[in-house]
Amino acid sequence: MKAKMDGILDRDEARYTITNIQRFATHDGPGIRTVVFFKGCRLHCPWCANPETWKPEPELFHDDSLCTGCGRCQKACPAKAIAISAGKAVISRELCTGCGSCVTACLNKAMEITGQVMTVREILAEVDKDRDYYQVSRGGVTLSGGEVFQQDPVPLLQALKARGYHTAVETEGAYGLEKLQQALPWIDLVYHDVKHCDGKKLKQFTGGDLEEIEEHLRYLKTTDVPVVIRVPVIPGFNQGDLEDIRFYVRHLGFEQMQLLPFHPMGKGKWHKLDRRYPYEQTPMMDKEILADFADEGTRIGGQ
Amino acid sequence: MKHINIDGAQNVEVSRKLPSEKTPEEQLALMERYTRVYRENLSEDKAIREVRCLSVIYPDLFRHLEPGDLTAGRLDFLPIGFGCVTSVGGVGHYCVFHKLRGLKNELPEDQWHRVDALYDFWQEHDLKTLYCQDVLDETVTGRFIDCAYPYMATARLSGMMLDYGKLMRLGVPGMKEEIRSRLVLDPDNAYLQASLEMMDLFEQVIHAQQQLVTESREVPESAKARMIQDLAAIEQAAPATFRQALQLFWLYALCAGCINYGRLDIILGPYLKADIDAGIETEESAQEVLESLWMLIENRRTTVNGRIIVGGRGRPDPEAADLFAKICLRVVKKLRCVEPQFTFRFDSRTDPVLKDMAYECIAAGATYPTLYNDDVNIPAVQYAMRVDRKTAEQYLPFGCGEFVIQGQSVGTPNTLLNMVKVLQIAMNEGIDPMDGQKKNGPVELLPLSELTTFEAFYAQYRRLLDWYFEKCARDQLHSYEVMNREVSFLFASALMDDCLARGKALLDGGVRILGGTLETYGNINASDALTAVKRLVFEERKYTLEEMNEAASRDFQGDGELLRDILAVPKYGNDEPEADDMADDLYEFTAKSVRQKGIDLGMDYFLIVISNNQTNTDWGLQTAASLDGRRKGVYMNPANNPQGGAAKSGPTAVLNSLSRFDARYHGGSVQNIKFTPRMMHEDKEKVKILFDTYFRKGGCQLMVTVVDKGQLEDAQKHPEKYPDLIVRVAGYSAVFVDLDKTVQDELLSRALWD
Repeated sequence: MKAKMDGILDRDEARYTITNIQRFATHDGPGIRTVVFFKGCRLHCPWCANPETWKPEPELFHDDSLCTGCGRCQKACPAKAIAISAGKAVISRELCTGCGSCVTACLNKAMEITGQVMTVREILAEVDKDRDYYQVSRGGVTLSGGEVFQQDPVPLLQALKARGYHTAVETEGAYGLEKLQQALPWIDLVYHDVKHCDGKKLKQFTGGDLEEIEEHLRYLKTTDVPVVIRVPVIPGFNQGDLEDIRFYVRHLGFEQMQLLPFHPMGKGKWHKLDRRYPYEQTPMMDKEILADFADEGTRIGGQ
Repeated sequence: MKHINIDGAQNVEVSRKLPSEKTPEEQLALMERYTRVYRENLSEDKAIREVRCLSVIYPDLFRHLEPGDLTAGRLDFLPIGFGCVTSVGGVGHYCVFHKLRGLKNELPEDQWHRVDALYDFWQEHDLKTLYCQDVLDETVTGRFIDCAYPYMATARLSGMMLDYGKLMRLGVPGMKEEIRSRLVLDPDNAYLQASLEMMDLFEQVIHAQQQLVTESREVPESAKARMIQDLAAIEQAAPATFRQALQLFWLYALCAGCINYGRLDIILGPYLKADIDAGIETEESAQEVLESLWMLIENRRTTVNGRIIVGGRGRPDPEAADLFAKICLRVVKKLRCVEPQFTFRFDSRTDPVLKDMAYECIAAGATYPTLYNDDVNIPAVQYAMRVDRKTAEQYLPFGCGEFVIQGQSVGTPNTLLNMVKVLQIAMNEGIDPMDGQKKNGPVELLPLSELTTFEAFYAQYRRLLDWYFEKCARDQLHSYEVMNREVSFLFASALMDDCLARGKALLDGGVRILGGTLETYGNINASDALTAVKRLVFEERKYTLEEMNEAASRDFQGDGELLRDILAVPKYGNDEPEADDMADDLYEFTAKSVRQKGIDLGMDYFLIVISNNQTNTDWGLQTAASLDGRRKGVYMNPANNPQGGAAKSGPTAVLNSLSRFDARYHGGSVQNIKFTPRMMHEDKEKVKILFDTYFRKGGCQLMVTVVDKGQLEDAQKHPEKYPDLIVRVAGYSAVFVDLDKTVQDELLSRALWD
């Protein structure tokens, strides 16, 4: 008994680097849900709406539009990573340790640290707040990111299941298969990305390995966990290949697929990380142009 | 004591009223006649005086119909006359001084002396002026609406919702019969005598409508014929049809000066159902009649009143009532008027089809209905007003959200309190930093340097609040005494239990439940300020009380770091215990204290209301910067809502915070939430679940608005006006004003609008 209690205590203290906990998420699984975003991802998809989830450690967001170039951050920075140039703070990213001293110093809310270390206990405290909404809507909690499996989601999943919550995981498959296998007993629903069926294009744009991802998909097919395939539709990458991708997915035996129209909502985040957004001029995709693809197993938009 | 002149805006007039049908010369002559009759009857019993004065203005002030009217009854009002509330005319025998003066602009100069004579006379006789002489003072108590004061008191009889059901059952002849039979037992009762004369006068009003209908232009002959027929019928008998019932109710409400109408589904539903079953009406024809009623109510332009309530428990014929409600929902969806404030009561047993219609109405972009949860409100009202369940089932919100019991209670909000100003006065040894005046009465206040614990600091605020609460309760009671001294409110009394039975006017001991309400403002700014002080001064010890207070006094100029630290402290509305607990604590202290004051002074109830109008903005203009980070002159928090959140927590967080306050202690509160159309359409089922869960968790009320694109653009420019606007971003929902500008811009682009 003590060993079990110790196990639970250890589990509750397990730590994760999280960028966001989003409540009233309506497109990440059934019902009303809360989504926990994990920091860290091996891929580098140029359309990513959450670029702050790539690196595993906390990072600095700098909002240029709020910055007045007052220099308080520069004075406060222990790593001397900030200079003031042309009336704005300029950050040397390679020197920045993400300590957050500049955040405290800034009076204009132009600085923010993204990525916070939280224990399972702390995550649960936040997730519990919407317990009633999950219950009535038959919703639950979705893990996403980044890539959930860049950290070890098992303690958190166990804690969520012990609470009686329905769990969903959104994943892209770029990690060792054994991690997925270990976690599966505590996962009720998997959303798996299939960004392309052309291995060369996949590797070139995202860094992903098609064989590795396929191995994950084949494995999932042998289990009885419900799987929904998600395909972000990106102009210039896969927009012209959707039939092929669907064929590929169906061939692997998956019936349920969701096409997610491109949106540039992450643009601001790229800027706040001092990075150029690769789709700067690309407008939001009108999901009507995908209407022809909708069929019994194919949904346009997330759910 | 110097004579207090209450010339100046007396209420908030946002919508402009239709100009009078009478010429300025005619208006002047009528007002002179009213004044003469009033004067001649000064030594008479107040009830007799009242009915004689009413005979001057009724039926004369009724005007012709407008195109589209299917029910007769349009009433002008003048700067001098009789009424219940300032939104239409004034209170009791009233004179609206600035409007009287304004009439001069429309009259030749040689007539001005006549206006002056009236002005001078009514300075000594206008009911509100009389009340204000007793109650107002230089610094503490201001008139409504003079926002330099921390506290305002007024005399008015708002929110009367009469027992129209009785009027329907008895009709005019039945009412007269009842009064006559009571007079037999109590022949010298002047109130009853005047009530009988009042009913005779009402009969004349009904009769006069027939001529007005005949003369009206642009009304089809067939419609005129039908109205005249119905008017003739109700002159002589109780109403037999839906149109007759509606006509009778409407004319009575006009004469009584009532601007909130109550549970019309109970009153009119049975007639409607019978007429449809008999083939006299169809749902379409009934809808036309109701659309006309909607326009009549809209044209009164009272801004924050016009309540029609449907749904909920305590309805004798729920099937008929629901039928009426369904047709009303179609009208609401179609017409999109600001008034009437269509209100929907529901509970776990409400017909899901009806409830869904209400949600669909909202989703379509109509501001109404506003939603009231009977499962929470009925037991809450039982406790708050100390009434049994059957009585509580007749609770109704009026105006900006105050509760009354239809046909049984007075609950007018005659006192208003600025919670932020009182905190500032408590912090500055009695001085209001906005104008440097001393406003703490006899309450001794320690300087900040001597408040060494948070408890001591909070206790000092509560002590000063307590003194103000006492004043509110006393002034509220006094307003009833003054009103009762001058008038009987004959029309209202006749349809309020138990006036005729007791032979006493409403405020004379006639009304069954003598209640009242106190409007509080800035509750959340105040509690957020307490949270900030508690953390920064007493827990983190980062600043002293004096430092924080001085910074607020100079509107945080040069206090960038302090302001940043204050803004970083959690604020109510984000589902964070630190802030929400404090808000709840201050709420319970305020609500319970006020409630107890009422009980101690002998009122049946006296409760706070946290209401929804623009007083929070007007008062904010004259309130100094507060320690929640609110700047000087900025609006205070609206209704029960947060001032403005900092977290990206979405609608569940907002609703969790809103459902914190125990509804048993207040007399009405309003919770606002706004969505974009996209949210309501793409996630409609989940949004409905959102609401259902909120109500299940104890949410008592919700006002849902779907904004249009113009408002979204406005939100970008004026985020402070939209702290409760939730939008659907690709994949998640967020508080719009907390989003990145780039995301906001995307949302404004065409792609995201239906």
